[in-house]
Amino acid sequence: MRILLAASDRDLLRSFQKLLSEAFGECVTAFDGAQALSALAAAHERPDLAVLDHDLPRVQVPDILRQLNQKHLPSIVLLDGPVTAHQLTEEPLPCAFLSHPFSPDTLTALIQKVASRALADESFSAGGITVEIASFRLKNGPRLSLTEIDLLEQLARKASSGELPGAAASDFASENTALAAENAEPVTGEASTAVLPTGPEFSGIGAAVSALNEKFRRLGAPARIRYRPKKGFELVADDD
Amino acid sequence: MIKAQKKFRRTAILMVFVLLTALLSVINIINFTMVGEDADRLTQRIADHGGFLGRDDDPAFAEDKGFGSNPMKGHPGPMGPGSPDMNMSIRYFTFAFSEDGTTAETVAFRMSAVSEDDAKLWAASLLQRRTGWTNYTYRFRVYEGRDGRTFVTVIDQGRELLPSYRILLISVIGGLLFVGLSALILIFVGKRIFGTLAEADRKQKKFIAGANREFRQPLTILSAETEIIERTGGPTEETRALRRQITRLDTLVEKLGTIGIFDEEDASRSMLSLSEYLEAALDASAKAFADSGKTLRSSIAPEVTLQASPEAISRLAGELVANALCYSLTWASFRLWREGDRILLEASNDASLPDGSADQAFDRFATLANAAASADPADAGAADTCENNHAGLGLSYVKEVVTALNGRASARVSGGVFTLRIAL
Repeated sequence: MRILLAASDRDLLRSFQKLLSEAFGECVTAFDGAQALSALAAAHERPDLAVLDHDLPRVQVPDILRQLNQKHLPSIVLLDGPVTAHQLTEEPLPCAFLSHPFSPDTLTALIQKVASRALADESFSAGGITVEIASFRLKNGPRLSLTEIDLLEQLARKASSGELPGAAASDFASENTALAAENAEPVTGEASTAVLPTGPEFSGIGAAVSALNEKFRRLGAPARIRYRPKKGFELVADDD
Repeated sequence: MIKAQKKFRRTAILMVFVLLTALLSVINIINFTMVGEDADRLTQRIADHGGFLGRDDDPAFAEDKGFGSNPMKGHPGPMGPGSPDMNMSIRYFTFAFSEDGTTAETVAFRMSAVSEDDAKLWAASLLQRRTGWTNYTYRFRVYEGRDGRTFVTVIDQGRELLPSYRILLISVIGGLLFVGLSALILIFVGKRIFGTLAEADRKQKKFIAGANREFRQPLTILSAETEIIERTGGPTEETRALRRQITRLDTLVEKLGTIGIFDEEDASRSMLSLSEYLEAALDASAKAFADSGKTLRSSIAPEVTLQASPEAISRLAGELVANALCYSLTWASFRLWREGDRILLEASNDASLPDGSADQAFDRFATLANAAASADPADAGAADTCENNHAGLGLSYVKEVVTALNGRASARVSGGVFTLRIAL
């Protein structure tokens, strides 16, 4: 897989180019937005996935994302803070967000997940909503991030399995690696800490739920995500 | 900051009003009291002279203090009751009543405003009292004469009271004008002062937010470089030390992110269910509470909604629950309900904090050393976890969010129970 890594910090480019090359085979770098667009335009060496730092000079990230989305190329945007509901509802939307600071393993895992999703020609439905996974969007609707797709997938799976009516907040705190990768860096090292449901992780769940509800509203979909006490998040009819 | 400005303005105007009212009240009370005392001196003089003011050729009259002064010779005569011309200008009457109060003899009658018969009836109505004001501007005195009869003297102080009433009216009007002018000045001054403070506060928050952002990317790079070193030469003591320090800085960065860097301008608001966010935070923490051996109680009214950003409400709910998990000893409870248009949220726990320490609860970096905070780090959900995941009590952020939502947050400690109350 050929990865495009665009960031304005040369140290970040150098270190992650080495690591991502080892992990995926090839990693091309771009120091600014103009270089990134040039790399995307290259017919024979077009990257398979782009990782963009949020503050690229010369050409802004949204302009690059538009090009990527038009070409159906998956993308990850690196942020300097937790992702907000506002960012999740803005277009153009990347496939995933990842907040600094993060470890190389986190980025690697996220790239693998985004790439696999982009290749999965699948869709699933729940509550009158259809998600086209490879396109990272709602059918005939707005784009979705990986967090939102995972959230909807869990809600759909649990609802159809009948084991639990919905997904609990704690499920997302521990099982959703993409969510954890996007919004909370797992602590490594000797002093491991238990993860409390606060801070960016909890905010990430709230942001994704709020963003999805807003997208359902824009689409005119008859559904919304609600939290039922002791039962967790559920995808329910809009008038419930 | 706007709330602080309004509070300052209200308090300052109230202080000006209170102080001015007190000052002008004292002045006017003293003024009226002095008029009353002058009147009493006069009535006493009349009483001492058997019910009438001394005649010009009365030797005893001439012996009164202050008489004999001649203004034409440069000696200023006494003013007020001591003036030698007082007997010429005072308007008064005196009646002597028999023991049973039925018969009255006129001792002196020098008043035009009332007839002698009416004056007699008036005096008779005062027999049961000793002294005071009657009919607003008349001073009276009831006393025993040498012959055993009861004398009633009433003097007209209207002319003496007129200036006092003028002063009172001027005090009221002038005082109100002064308070109004003070209010205008305070509004103008307050805007300038608080504008400066608000700008300084905004810059501080921006700086902290900027510093927080600036730390993040270098930490990512450090982590990546350490990984590269380890892949090349294997983990060493140095790379392990690097990783420990990176972990510390990661934690610091997260803490910086929790220190009131809540910029409501950046957040988009929508109608959210506070009930759902709080329930989610409680459910997510239920296991941690259980593992810590603590009881978690809650009474959350459904469909309590408000216009807010999901980030703010998520953090609010998360911080409240995490704070309770960290600092409660055996139990924590949460209650959310509506009272009319108000949303009320109450979080209590047996934090066993000293009474009066609640004031520190909203300070940034504030930590309180209670039994829970100093628990064995090996215990689940104990101090080590709290320390690594919280900047102090975490309630400074709660207060910022509540303030941004035009709400109020207060805390109290009583009988070992810490209670946080939020009104939105």
